[in-house]
Amino acid sequence: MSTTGDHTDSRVRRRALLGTVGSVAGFTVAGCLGSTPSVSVLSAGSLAHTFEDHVGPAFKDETGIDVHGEYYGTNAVMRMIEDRTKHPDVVASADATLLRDRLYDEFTDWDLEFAANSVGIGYNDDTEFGRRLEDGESWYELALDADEGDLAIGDPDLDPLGYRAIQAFELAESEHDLDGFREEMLALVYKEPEEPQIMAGVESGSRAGAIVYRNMAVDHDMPFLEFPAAYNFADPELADHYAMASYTTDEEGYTAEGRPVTYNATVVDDADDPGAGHQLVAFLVDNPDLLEDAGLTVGESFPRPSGNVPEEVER
Amino acid sequence: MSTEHRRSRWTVRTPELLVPATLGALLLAYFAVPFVAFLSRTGAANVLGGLASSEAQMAIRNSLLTAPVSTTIATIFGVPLAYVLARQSFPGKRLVEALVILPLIVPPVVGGAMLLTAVGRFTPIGSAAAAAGVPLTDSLIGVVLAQTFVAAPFVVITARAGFGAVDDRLEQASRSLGYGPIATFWHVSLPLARGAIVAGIVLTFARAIGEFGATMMVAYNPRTMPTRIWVDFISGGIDAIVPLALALLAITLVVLAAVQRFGRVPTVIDR
Repeated sequence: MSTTGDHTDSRVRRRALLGTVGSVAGFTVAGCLGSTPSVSVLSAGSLAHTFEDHVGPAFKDETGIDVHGEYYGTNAVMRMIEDRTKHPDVVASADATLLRDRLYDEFTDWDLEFAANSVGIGYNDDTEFGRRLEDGESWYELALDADEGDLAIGDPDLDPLGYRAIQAFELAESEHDLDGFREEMLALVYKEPEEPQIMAGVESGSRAGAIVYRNMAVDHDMPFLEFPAAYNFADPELADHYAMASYTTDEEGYTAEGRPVTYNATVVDDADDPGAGHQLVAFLVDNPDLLEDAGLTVGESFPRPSGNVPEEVER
Repeated sequence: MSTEHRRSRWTVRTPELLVPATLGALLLAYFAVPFVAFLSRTGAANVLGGLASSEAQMAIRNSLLTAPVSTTIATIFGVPLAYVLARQSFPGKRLVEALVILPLIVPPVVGGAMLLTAVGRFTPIGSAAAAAGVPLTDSLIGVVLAQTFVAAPFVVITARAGFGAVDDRLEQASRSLGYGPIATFWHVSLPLARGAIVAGIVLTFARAIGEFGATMMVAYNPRTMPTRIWVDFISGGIDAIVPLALALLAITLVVLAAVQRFGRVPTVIDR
């Protein structure tokens, strides 16, 4: 290897590298400056599909504003607002009361419930559990028959989907006269902290089924058995009945009573762009069809306002 | 090399490599099986369709913009640091070394949380930068910050091992011939450690372009390929992430091959 050859070579490479760095840096700056107007949404993970594939594109078409969503479990969403880790314009929660308990006074003083969701079992129809479920056997007998870890629920300490599963077990226990059903199920099920992993477990066949929301099953084209109204948490009229079941989270000692699964949204007080935030919440209320397409349920009783809803949203 | 010679080398070396090759094959199988199972879930048409969406293309663009910048920053600052660590003893060196591997030890999400406490929107640095129109969170700059934090140790650690393997008598010879320390570094140490440095750059790039945990905390938007993959996974499940995951893999492999070719890193160790 000659010394001169090596030098020319490295000089050429160096120049090429500098060129690349220069153009990349130029692009980056251009990319930062040439941004379109946007509204940021911090939302429950179960609304990811709703915002990404239904509401986001339609809102962009109508207003020209990009929807930038971030998705976590609802408790994590509240924690991030409280800790000021995240600073979105709009917060959307999978548990209307949780949002009011945690964010009212300090971060907002209003919200709008815009849709409901129902709880049931999403299952894999290639498993024995799935086949017998489709043959019409009752889910609770099959569930008790399942091996430990065959069925998954969300983590009840992190995610309303998790504690709703336990509340559903409790209400099913009284509904079907199944003594000790809640405790037996608690010992049987696997608690999966992340909703996406719950779905992946069932889709890949490593679990036979999971207690999920209907819209999650719709998103994933997953077979779904909706629980009866007595414990699917979808009927606001049955709120008192749902409240007979409760769950206290381990870490924060927060006691969640059973209540209808309603999604609500608010615009936080220190939003960067409250105008766009108000527009997005109003858009949710004005477009029930989009929400139905995404697997949510928008009955006659929606929207349900709470607190001092701004005029721009209420209209 | 004659055929006869090659055959004799083959027979002589086979038993000697049998044990390591078997052990290595087990690990390879462990890598390959999940990969093949994952790929078998989708057809080529789905992949191209998935990559055609504007969201996917934006994510690819963002990743291709940020990962090279992060890798360049890590290299420009990391290689000199590696040289100092390889050549100099000083008080507190252990502390510096611990600091270099810190980002490797903490889970990326924690790394992201640490970055947020340093440059987040409500910190003095973060608010000053945002006021100057250069937001350090939820921006491509935020992505670069996260990637650099998580990926830079790879080039430092690998380059340091490379410099450590350079015989310092060659550097002394260069100095005694009248070259200064910078000329010596540039013409002697750097070329001799090139293989290790290139390997470190490749590792850093691969880590940066695949970075998710810290990026999610610092800049969930604009989305890079890993964040887009996460959102696709949340909203669409395993099948939805195949196209971007494959694209990420393909890009990384191309870059890796290109760097190895132009960096002239041999695939078989020179004898």
